[in-house]
Amino acid sequence: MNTADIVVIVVMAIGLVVWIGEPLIRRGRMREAAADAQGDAIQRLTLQKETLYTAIRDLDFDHQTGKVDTEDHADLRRQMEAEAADILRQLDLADPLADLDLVVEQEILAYRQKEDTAALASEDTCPACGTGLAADPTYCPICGQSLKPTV
Amino acid sequence: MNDVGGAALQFAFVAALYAIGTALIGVRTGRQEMIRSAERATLGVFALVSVAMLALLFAILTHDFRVQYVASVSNLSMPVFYLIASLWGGQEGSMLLWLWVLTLYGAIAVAQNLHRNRELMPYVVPTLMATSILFLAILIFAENPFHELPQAPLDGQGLNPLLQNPLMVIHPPTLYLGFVGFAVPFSFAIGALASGRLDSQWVRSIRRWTLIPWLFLTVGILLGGQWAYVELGWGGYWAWDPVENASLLPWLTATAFLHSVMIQEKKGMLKVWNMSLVILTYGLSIFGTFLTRSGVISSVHAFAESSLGVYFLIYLAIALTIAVALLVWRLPQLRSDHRLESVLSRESSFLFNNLFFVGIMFSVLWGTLFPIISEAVRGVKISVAAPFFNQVNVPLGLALLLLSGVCPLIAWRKGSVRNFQRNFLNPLVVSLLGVAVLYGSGIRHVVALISLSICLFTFSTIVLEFYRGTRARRASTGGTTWQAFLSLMTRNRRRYGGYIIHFGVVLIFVGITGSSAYKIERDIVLDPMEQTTVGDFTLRYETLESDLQPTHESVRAKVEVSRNGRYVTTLFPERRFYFAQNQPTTEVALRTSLLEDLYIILAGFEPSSTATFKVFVNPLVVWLWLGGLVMIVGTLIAIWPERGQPARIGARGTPTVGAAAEQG
Amino acid sequence: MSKQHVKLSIGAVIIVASMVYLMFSGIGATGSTMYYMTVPELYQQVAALQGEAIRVSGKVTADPIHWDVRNLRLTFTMGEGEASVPVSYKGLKPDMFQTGADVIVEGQIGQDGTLVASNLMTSCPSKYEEEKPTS
Repeated sequence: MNTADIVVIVVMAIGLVVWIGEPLIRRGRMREAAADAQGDAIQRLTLQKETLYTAIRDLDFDHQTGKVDTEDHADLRRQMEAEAADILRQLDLADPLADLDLVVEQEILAYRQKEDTAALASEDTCPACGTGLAADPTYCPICGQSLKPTV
Repeated sequence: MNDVGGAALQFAFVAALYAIGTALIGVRTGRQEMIRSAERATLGVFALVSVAMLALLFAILTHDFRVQYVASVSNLSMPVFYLIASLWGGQEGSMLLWLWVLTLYGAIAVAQNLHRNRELMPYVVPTLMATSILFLAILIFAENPFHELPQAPLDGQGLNPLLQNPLMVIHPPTLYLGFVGFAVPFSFAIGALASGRLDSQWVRSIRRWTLIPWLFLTVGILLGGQWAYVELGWGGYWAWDPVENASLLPWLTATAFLHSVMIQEKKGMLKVWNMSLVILTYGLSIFGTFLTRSGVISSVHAFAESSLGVYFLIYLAIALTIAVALLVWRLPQLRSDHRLESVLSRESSFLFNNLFFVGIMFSVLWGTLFPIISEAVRGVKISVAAPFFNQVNVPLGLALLLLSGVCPLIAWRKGSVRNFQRNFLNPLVVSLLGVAVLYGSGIRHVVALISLSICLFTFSTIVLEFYRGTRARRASTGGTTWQAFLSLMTRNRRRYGGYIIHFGVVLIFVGITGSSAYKIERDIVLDPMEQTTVGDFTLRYETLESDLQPTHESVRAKVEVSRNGRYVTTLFPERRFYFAQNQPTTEVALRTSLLEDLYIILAGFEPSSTATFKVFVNPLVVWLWLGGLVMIVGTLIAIWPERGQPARIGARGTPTVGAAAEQG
Repeated sequence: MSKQHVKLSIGAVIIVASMVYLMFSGIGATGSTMYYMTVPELYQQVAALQGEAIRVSGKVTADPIHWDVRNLRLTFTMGEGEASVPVSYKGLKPDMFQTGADVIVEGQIGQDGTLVASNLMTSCPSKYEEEKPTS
């Protein structure tokens, strides 16, 4: 073993110890937000919600490409929308900003009821998700895509 | 430098042990700084193993023949390209490469998850480090790449000439990138099980982590086949050899997982099954390494036999026991969120797809292990030959291909028979017409006809999917067909990337069908200027030329090829004799076209210049390699990160939560 | 269990049953499996193994090797220790075929006790790695 090798090995060892040990010395400053139960719940619900939205888009697409009958499509969509609404309600309860959201939620629900009656009359579909739209909407009720040119 | 390399491996061993201990204590006591320190150690292990790689490379490039490994895989006359390749040309070096790839993946996994999946990381790190320790232990205690000889030879033995092929230079690294990569999804699965964070989050995190090794493994398997085809000179690309099977086994379960994971993401079903597939894939990739490295099963590949097997078996037993115990412990939390709504649905077709993949896996495993089982049970050694694998896997493989054609026609959740029939009609007509045309053109091979009709069926369903999707997009967004097509692809890369992969698979099936059903194989003896016909080709053997190179002597025959009286090409099948390795090799002469390969081997020659040739006409082989390329393209499309989805605005909650959900 | 699950299970059972059938019938089919043995093992039971598909490993002995290039017929003797068996093979002479080479032969024992080979492979001790230098 020659001197150069020994030097390299020693440098390697010191470097390793410093690199690994450093976080331990800094311990006081390493405060990480511990995962709280509420955050967990929100994360889980958000995931479920996204999953459902994707499922709804897939369903619409399958309908458009002729794989799902119109009746089945309507049935399944109603079912999934109900599930989505349920998750959104749970999300509201879990959310720290629940109060604000509740207002928005009610507005959307009201909007949706209006849409149910109006949707049949309109031929428009949302460019983002393909949902059938009520006459002259501002936002898509399902995916939230803005439908008015921004000023 | 050799001592530095050796020391780096020993330090890495200590650092890996430290990472396991610290991470587990850190999570028990809730001390984040210990977990951070363990992550630092993981990165440190990667750096140290890289140092060892560089030290070995240095020894090879400087021809330090004191090092036994260097003396056995390289010599003074090898070009730099193959010197670098000899880094993984032997047992110790390839184990070091395996380890390096593993620690590289580990470092990337740590770096990617500094701010997410925090609950999982204290278990991900120890799992990855445990695998590293297996290889570090082997490299330190059993197969030290830096082991020095008491006396340095004047020149090394050199890399086996069979391995001196560009394909063989990239084949092992790609295969390892695939094999080793499955350690990451496995460690995330263990993390999810141990931490109890069993929601869909971990599944999203590992989808890409499974797809990337899967791509490498796919490419590695195909490259291996191509290497065997052009280099080994037996006219085929797949022999159901145990080593080949070993690479296929984890590929099959990983492919099954990539399909069934979609159901978990979409419906929250099959959680236990997916977890099992991840564990099984990892187990099979370790088992495959064990098979190829231990010499338990005799194989034409015959790596050096060694006592490594024990290490692998002990490790495998421990890893699987822990994984299964964790899985059983968490069973109550792994219930399905939903139930199956209809038998005629995409979901159920995925279930059958999984059944076939796992079935093929078991049959290959059964055939590979049968010699050992039969020796243990009946005391008779029995070898299982290719006919067994073909007999079992041809029907299963065709069923799977058919399923990949039928699947996209069925809707998620609920397909209706009427829609199914409507969608079914066109592809069915196409495939029946195709079969009629093929039959009319003289193809009578029943299996080939069945296989090609299924290929046509699947191909037309894929085309139909793209056509319908584009039409639907265009109807809803307007624009040109091309724009609609592009937006269709970019909006759902996974789905359409997947279809492109299926298209690649169809091409591969076409290649396999053509080359196995209509292969012509002839042994011929020719005097100079004599000619003969093989298939459509007329071969005229003209002369024998010899040539002396520094590393080898070569003798090549000049063969003029013509078809129907018209000159096609001149081929030069060649035999070489490498002095350093005292080994003859055959250099195949190959003429590839889209319809068939003409493949000539110079098997031997007499002093009278009478030469013996082995000639193959392998139809459609080139489609195998083209199909592989298509699969790569499809996978890249599917892997490419999708940008923000339009479903975003419906999201509530704080921005951080939204960001966390984006991490798929 | 719902009706859907029953239907699905029936389908799965049928598929699994047919796969198991394929696996076991495949092992039993001719040409799928061969007895794998060394020359001494073969030597003891040559008569019993007549007509069975076998795969034998051994070394090429010092007995003369006949290579009829015109008819592509190779005859030689393979053995290990005391035991030996004559082999007749039609096909090309493989690489590295010489006295003392390790070979694997696949074929059947003929009437006269000759091993009629359909397949002849030379196995180098390891293709991927040269033998370790003895130190």
